[in-house]
Amino acid sequence: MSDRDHLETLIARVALRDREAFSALYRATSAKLFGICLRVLVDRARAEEALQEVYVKIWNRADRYRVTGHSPMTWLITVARNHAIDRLRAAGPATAALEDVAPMAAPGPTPEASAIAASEARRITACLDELPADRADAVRGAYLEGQSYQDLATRHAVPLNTMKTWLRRSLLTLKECLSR
Amino acid sequence: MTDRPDDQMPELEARAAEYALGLLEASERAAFEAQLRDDPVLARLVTDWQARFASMADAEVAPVTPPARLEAAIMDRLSGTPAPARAPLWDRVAFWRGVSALSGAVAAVAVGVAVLPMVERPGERPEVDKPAEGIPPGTILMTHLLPVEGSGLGLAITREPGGALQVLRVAGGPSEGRAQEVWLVLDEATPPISLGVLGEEPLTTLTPEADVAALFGVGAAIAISDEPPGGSPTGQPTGAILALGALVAL
Repeated sequence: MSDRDHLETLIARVALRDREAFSALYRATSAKLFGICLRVLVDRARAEEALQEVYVKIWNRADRYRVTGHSPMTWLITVARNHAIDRLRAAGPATAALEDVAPMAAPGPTPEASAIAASEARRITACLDELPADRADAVRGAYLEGQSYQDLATRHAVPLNTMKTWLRRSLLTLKECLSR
Repeated sequence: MTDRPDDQMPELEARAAEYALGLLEASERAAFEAQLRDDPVLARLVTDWQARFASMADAEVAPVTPPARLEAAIMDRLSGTPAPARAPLWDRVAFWRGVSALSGAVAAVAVGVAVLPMVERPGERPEVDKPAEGIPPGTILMTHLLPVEGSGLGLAITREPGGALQVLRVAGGPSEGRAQEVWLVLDEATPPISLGVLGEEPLTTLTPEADVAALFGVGAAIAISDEPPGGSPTGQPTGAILALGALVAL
């Protein structure tokens, strides 16, 4: 059984309220998700609190995992990252769980499409490296530090609109690089 | 994507990425979410970006082992969540373990449910194990049955408001000289109730009697067993479970 299949099985069992499977899922994934909470929140106590909330969320939302069409790690990382960002920002959530917002979620990828997505994923670091360093940093700043356009503009000392244009172009370049 | 002019794609792609990053202002975000509601293709663009950013985090953020006490703390928090009103799925089919030599196969099963999207808000989510009483009349229930390893079966069951069951076989079939029988499994104390034998065709429609149809609800399990031609001669399963799943509201 591949890691992916193993995690999918665990998530499916968690959806059926299987605590043993939940423990196994926690042991297999908590270091990665804690790393992400810590990176976003910096403060250790806050990251620990966020991690607990993330796993309660995973417990409560496991039955909806398949709706997202994500691979298990993508789903887990997205839940953790979005939750940590919500904790970081005083204002409400920045990004809702997609399955709440788009009831008619797109069909999940075929096995072939998943394989493509996986190989695309492996290239993302290389593609980020093709961007000018400050722009790649802006992408990371938005995803991993929850920076707004205003934060990014201040950090990189450019006008807000310049920042928007920069980042949007960088994202499209990134997408193009990944689909090469 | 063929229904959209090419020059709109960069704008949609950029919006989807900004949304996934959480960069949209509140008003822009609300507008984008309204658009997402009716646009599965746009939703796909967002999930693709989420996947890309998640792989960036996966590749660039080092794992950090959390303190050991956190696991116990999380388990404590779960205790506050409502206890299942029904026994876990696999406990309910415990009787099967006495059937033939297949207890090992049952233990090795990949089990799960596929839930179709429901329009709802977080916090008002019905639990899978909630008893059937709360189901509004007319709700369509469905499950993707999870195959026992090696059975190669792909089955989806839809229970229509009128009570008819549509069983769609998308992969696998009965082994030669054998049949596949469908069972409703309520709990470990109740013997499974036969719903009929699957035909050769990919789509089988089963129409349970009214008293049996009344027992269907969210959390009820459906199992498929391997039986002699024509179905179990005893009225109870005689062969191994080939697939199992719990009904969810559509």
